[in-house]
Amino acid sequence: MNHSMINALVSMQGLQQKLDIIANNMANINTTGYKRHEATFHDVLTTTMRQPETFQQAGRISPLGLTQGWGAKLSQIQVSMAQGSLVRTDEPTDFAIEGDALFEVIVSSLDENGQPVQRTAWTRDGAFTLRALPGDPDNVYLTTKEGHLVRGADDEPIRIPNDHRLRVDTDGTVTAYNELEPNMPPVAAGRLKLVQVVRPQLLRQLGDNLYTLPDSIDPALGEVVRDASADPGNPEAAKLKVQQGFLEQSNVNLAEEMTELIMTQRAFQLNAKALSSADNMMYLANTLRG
Amino acid sequence: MLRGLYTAAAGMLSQQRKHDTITNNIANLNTPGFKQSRAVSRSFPEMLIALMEGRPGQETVSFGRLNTGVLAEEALTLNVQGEIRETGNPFDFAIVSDIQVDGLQFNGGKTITADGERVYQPQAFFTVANEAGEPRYTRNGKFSVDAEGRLVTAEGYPVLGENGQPIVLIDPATQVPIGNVTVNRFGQLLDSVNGQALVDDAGNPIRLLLTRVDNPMRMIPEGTGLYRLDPEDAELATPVTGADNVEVRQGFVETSNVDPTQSMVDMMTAARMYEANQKVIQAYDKSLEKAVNEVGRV
Repeated sequence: MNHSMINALVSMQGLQQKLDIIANNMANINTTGYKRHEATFHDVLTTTMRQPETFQQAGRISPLGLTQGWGAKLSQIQVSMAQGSLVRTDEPTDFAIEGDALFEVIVSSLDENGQPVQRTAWTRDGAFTLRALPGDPDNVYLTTKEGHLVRGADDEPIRIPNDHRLRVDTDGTVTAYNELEPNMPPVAAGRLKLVQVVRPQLLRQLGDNLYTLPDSIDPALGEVVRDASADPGNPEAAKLKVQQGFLEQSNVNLAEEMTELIMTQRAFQLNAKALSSADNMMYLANTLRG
Repeated sequence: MLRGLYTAAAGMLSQQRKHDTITNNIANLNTPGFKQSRAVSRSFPEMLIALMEGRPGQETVSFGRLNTGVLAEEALTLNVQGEIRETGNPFDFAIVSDIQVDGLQFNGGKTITADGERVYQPQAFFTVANEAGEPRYTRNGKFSVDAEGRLVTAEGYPVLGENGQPIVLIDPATQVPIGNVTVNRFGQLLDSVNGQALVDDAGNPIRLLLTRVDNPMRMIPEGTGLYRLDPEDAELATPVTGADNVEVRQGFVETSNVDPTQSMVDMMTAARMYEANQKVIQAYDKSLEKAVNEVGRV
């Protein structure tokens, strides 16, 4: 295959992937707590065709050798952790975080031996719900819509007694008020655990709006995420707020995505033109003999 | 044999190379920090043409000089500033450089001096280390932080600080990872919270190592946005000083400086020139056909 064709082909593949990412962002424009993804490119390996010393002629500007690039490919996909706008829902189990932090949830699954394992994951999606768990008839647990338990600052799941109303302060403190007997004193039910992401680039997507750490990194080291309340001197942590009755919208900006879409599509078209031009050149070479 | 047949074949080959270079530019329309390149051709060495066996006493008659072909000699990088685009990502950096040299007025990255010498404008680059620890230069400032807290490029090459060591975003005193950094226009790393300069193990402030390269045409592109200098050109690279007009912008990237319209026109030209050379070959083929099949017919 000729060089021009490889160039066009390689970069059309990358641009196709970028189109997929833009489409995914657009599809999630109404997903609570969704963070937009951004693709970047880099040029792939450049080869240098060696030239003999006799090519060092007067007027030559660059060092010996003819350098040739081989197109562009998608180099990384970054997640933009920018704040989305908050929308009021007045649901007592809806929460939104103002500031740079994530809720911690427990994802239960089975390992390869069929044994239940618990995995820590993080999310910005605060559309929670209260659910009863088997084995504990007196309490209801705060879970995500998918049923993952939400962790408190003491690393235990947040739970409140039955027939109680949930109230969460802006610092994440959970209290439960008895709905049947309003004169009873409120019950303290811990505090929502908020973690700050130190290295957002290292988070892995788990689907369902969940982020997790690659297995090679021990979360206890605090290199990637750290408990916001563990560090009271951190002024960033002091600015964090949990808003009950609000949901964070996705941070996708439709105008921005449309612009990216146009740019990517045009770049794709231009590469397709280059491909057909290269094809025409091959045709010319083939028809040299009439 | 007909001399021009090979000349036209060489023409096709060199137009093919030109086309390849342009498609690579088009492919990198969206690559941050990419600099477009241009294939430069050179004619084959001239030769003297003479007629042998002329009139008695004048055996050879000189006809003059002739070039018998063309070759794609070099691919020159067009080192001019790309546009600066805001991304809002704190680990995206762009270099805005307009380094001036006394007594010269650069235009489009180069100038011609009064005595006819061509001078290219010096350019500034981020300095990264490759696997072997050798310095490489790049304008693609899309960095991120790896698990060890090092500032790295998308391919994982560490970005070097002024002391020649990788930049590590971990507080040396407390071993606490630093999440938020602000980089000022001199490339100095500051704590986003209190505005204090970040320091390395030795207590020196951390600054991005920006390298000024005089005559950037001597740089050899290696792919993935990196350039290298041959050992004999190593003295062209010096750290950027305060007198150089170079700025770092955090939260921005430098877009590719490929001009799609120009590329499209150049590509069409190269393809048509290729076609023209092909037609020349066909014309030669026709004359050969005549010579072989018709002239010789009895």
